[in-house]
Amino acid sequence: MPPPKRSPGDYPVFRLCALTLAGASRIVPSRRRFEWRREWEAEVWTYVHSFAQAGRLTWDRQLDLFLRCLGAIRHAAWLRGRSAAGLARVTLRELAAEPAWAGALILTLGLTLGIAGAVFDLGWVALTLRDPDSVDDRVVRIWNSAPAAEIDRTALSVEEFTRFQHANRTLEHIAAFRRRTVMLGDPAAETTPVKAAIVTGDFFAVFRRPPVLGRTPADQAGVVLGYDLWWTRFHGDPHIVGQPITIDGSGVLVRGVAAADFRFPRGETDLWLLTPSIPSSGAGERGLAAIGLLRHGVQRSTAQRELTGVSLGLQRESPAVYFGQFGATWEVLVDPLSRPGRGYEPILFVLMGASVVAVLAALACVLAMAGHGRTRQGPSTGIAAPMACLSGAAIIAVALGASAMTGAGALFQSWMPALGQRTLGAPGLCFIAGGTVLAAAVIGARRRGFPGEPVSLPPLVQILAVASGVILLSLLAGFGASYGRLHAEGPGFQDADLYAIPSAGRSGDLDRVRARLQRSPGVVAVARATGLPYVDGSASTTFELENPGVRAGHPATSAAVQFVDPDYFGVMGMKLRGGRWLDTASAEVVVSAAMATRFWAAGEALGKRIMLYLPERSVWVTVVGIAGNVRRGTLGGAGIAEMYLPYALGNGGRAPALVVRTAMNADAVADYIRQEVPASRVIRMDTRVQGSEAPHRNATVMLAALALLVVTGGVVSGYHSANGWPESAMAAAVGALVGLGAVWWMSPTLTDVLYRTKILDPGILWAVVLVAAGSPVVAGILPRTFTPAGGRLARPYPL
Amino acid sequence: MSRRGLGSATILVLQALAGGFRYGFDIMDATELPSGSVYPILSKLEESGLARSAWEDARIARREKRPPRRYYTITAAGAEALREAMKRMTALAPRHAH
Repeated sequence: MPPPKRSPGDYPVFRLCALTLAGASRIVPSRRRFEWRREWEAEVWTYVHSFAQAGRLTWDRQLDLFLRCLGAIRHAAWLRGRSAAGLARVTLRELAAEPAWAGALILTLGLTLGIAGAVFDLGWVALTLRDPDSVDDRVVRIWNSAPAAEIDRTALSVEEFTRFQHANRTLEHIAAFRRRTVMLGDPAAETTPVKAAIVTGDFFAVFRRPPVLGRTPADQAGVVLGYDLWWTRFHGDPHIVGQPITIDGSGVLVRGVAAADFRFPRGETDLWLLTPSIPSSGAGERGLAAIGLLRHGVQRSTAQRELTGVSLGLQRESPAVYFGQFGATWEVLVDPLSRPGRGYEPILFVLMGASVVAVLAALACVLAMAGHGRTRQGPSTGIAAPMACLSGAAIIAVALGASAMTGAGALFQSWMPALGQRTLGAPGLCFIAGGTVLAAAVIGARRRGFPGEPVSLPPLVQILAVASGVILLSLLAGFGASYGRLHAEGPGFQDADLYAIPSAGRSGDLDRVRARLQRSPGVVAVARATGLPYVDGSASTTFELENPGVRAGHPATSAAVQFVDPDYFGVMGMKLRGGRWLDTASAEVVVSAAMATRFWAAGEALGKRIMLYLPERSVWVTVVGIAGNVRRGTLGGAGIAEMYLPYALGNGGRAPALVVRTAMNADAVADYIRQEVPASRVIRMDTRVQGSEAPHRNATVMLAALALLVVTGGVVSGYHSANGWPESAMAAAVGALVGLGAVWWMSPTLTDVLYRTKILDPGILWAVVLVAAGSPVVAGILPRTFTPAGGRLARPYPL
Repeated sequence: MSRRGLGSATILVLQALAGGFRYGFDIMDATELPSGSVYPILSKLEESGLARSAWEDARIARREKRPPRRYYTITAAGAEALREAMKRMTALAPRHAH
């Protein structure tokens, strides 16, 4: 049991109760407010005092006291209106009392929602436009709908689809499909269930994705194989086209092989059964999924009107069939098939998370604004009145924000058709929201003045808050610097238009693929290498310098090693720092700049000899070139000692891989590469490199959002602690020390996570100190600068 | 306040006042009613004349180094209303017993 303190005001529970009573007192009619608060505070004072003096102010008693104080809110409401309606009246009265201030609140909230929603959606669109695999925006899905029968979207009837095929003028191609599972293989031997789709002849034309092998004539039956199925089941047989295969016990001619990444519908289809016409199973039966390709310049709404007209004509011709169904008129809906944001979900989730954080920051700021706004008429920094005010303001603001978003949506849609039918009401807010509200809070504070009554947090909370802020800001600075360096330095090679194909284990297979790729159009060069960066882990070998002791402290040791073709450096686009690349199969070696610096004096590495201890033998090699450092993966490897040896010397027991440099359309070449090897084995190097930076990028974005919240909190709490700044400064100093201690404790772990960045770098520390200390300092200066009557800050607490 | 309409919580508060409990928190302890009930009842009793309130002598509070407290006392009308209410409750008791 802690020793009793001198005054009840020293107990946090007393301050909490006093704050609650101060807030609740705003609800009490003004003629009774003073006595009401005096009575309650005297009871609380006596309660704390008596138990504290007796040494019996236990946690359960403190909880009991707080619960009693919560009853004061009900008492206050009862006095105000003796019903819940009293609170509503208070809300309206608070809003009406200062219409300008209420208007500012509402506008701030509304604009925050509107602007942030719009920014979020713009980000979405920007990401969608960057999506290289997105379906053409002109590809649409065609549905039937009967609003009167509450049928939203359903498939077409065969008759309707056939009529659309012949009567439409808005679609370049139209196709239908049905999903089903077929049995592939001879029933007498072994059959395999395969996910398939029965499709009409224009199916592939709709997507403008012709098969990579063969063709798909619209008037002939047959089957188009999925790329992976062709590779796994038919071993990539280039002569498969024209051969019969057995599906559901019947022979079907193979017409083609689809592109590797084409798996529509559902992204899981393995083969497509072509049919010139889909037989109807019953007049009016709706079971046909339809897709189409809009003609250039045709809007979806235009196509929708045209197809609905065609459908209505059919319904008039056969009213018994169509009008009879569900007793409703059928319409046609045309929806975009593309799924925005595909492949960028993680980024969008980060954006969404940051938006939620910004919402919280915005609400905190607006709450502070409301608190400031109500302080002019009395000594209270009450919570209840601002909360009541906010509840009304928020409702109006949501409506206003929704209106703003709708308006902005219409505007953006006219600018960016890619926005499609997306509603600008995503649950997002972005950094601009926090900035807007922060600015509004400062402007509002300037106009209204600052609270006359300090609201001090318990010291422990202050310390923890400051410590958390320091940790957070340090992490932000660390990850930001790390990401900046990662991005600025690059991987050490040209990752664009570069593909890697790891070995499947058989070198003969890889050599065959290499030979074929070298003859392929669009392929600039192909090279073999072991231990590819971003693909394989690095292998090392021990070696010995011919002339040890050149640089003391680095005796014979080990270094990473790659066995490469002479073309490897050109294919990778690596930088030559000195000497030349490998050009023969002789005993030569190219070393990384890091290795040259580490083992030899400046400029002395070239021409030096190294004894390598390879698994099969030992060999002397001469350093003929110095290559720029290459990052090996997510973080590690940049600047490590590394050697590049001729592939002719062997492969060090490692399976080789191919690197392919392409020109022209990268995606087209990628398809071609995937003709030679299964899609799963083709790796885009730029994707790998970007993926390695993604954790740092995402962490930076997320931490920046949190830091915004911290800085906002620093400004807000700075207002409130302006009176008791010596105590707050002490708590902040202790908190900063705690935070820095935690960062120091975490630094070894963070060193492994951050790229060439030390969390305790002086630059980072200074940035953290400036931001962490700057916000409350600014907040402490602002009141005196902007408050006409600076003395208001010193108003004594009533008790 | 209609005396016929005295509720059980109101009767409890009146009983506490009659028993010498004078302050809001003390009445809460005596009746075990929450503060959100006790204070509105005290306000209602005061408005209807069944109880009265006053501030204690500031000298006493100063001597005890605490702020003055507001205390409540039952009025004669309040005592009468309490007696009637208790009589009704007593009259009801035998019926329940059988």
